[in-house]
Amino acid sequence: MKIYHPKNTLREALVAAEPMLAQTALGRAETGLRSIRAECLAHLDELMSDLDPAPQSRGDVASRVRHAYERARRIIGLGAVTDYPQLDRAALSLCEVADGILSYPQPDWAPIRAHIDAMRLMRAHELPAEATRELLASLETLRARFGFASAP
Amino acid sequence: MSGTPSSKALFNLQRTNILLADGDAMGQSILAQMLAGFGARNIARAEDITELRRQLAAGTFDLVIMDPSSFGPEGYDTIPWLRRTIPPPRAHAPIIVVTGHTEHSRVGQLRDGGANFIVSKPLSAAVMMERLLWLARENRPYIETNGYAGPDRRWHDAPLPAGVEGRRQKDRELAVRIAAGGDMNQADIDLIMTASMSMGSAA
Repeated sequence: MKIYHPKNTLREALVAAEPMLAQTALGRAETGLRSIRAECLAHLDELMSDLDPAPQSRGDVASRVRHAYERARRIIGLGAVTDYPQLDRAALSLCEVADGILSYPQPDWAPIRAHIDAMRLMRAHELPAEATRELLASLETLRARFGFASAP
Repeated sequence: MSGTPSSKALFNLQRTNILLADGDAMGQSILAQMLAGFGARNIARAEDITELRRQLAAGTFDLVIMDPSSFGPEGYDTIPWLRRTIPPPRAHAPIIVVTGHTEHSRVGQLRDGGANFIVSKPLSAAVMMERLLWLARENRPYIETNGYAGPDRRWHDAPLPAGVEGRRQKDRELAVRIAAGGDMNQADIDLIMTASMSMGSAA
C-alpha cells in the first residue's frame, strides 16, 4: 500500500484570495441562479415533453423505461432553480422506480406512466399544496413498491 | 448544526483552478452560476468524456466537480482512471461528484471510485459552499492499494461536514461548539486533575 500526503491546494487558493463574506458569495450565487431561471424552465419543459418517447421511436418497454430514466435524471436539480422542487422529487422517484423496474424480467410501463402524469399535472397546473403532497405521497408508494433503495 | 456558513466566514474562489464536468449543458450552467457567484474566475469545462479526460490529464486543478452519470458508463471509470494512471499531483486532484441519481448497479462503483465527496442533486448554493469548505479543511491522505486509489475512506479522525450524519457513534461534527456555563477556575481544574490522578493510581 502506498500513502501520499498531497498539498491541499484548494485551501491555499482560498487563503490567497481576496476576502469575501460567505454570505455575499451565497447572495451572488443565488442571483446568478435566478438569472438562468427562464432558460432552466425551457429546458425542464423540453425534458418533460420527451419523458415518453414519440410512438414511432418507441422500442420495447425496457428501452422506453431507460429513455424516461435518462430524461428524469437530467430533470433532477432543475426543479430547485425553477421553483418547482416537487418536480425534483418526482423525477428522483421516477429514476428509482425505473432503475428497479429494469431489473425485472418483464418491465412494466404503468408506474412510469403514473410518474409522468403526476409530473405534468404539477407543472401545468397551480395545484394546491395539499394536492401536490398527495401526488408525491402516491409516487412514494410506487417507489417503495417498485424502486431500489434510495441512491446514491 | 446549521447548514449555512456563519455570517462572518470568508469564502472566495477567485484564485481556484476548477474543472467543471457535466454532460448536461444546463446542469453545468447551474453549477457554473454557483461557482461564479463564489468568485471563481478560472473554470475549465468539459461536456464530453474525451474532453474531460484530456483536461484531467493535462491540467492542474485545485478542484474538480463532475457528474459521472452524465457521461454514460465511461463516466464512472474516469475517477479510478485518473487516480491510477495519471501521475501526481494531478492524480490527487480533489473531486466532488454531484449526481442526481445513480443506478443501483453503479452505486458500488461510484462509492469505490476515489472521489473525495459525493453530493446529491438538487443542490443548493449553501450546501455546495459547505462541502467546498469541508474539502478545504480536510487532511486525509491518499491511499493506493490493489483495490482502491483515492482519499483515505477511514473517517474516524475527520469531522463530518455540516448536515451530514455520521453512521458511527464516535463520528465528530466539524463545528466547535460554545461551552455551556462559564470558564472553570484554576482551583476546580486542580481538583479534577488531583481526583483523576488518584483514581488512576488506585486502579
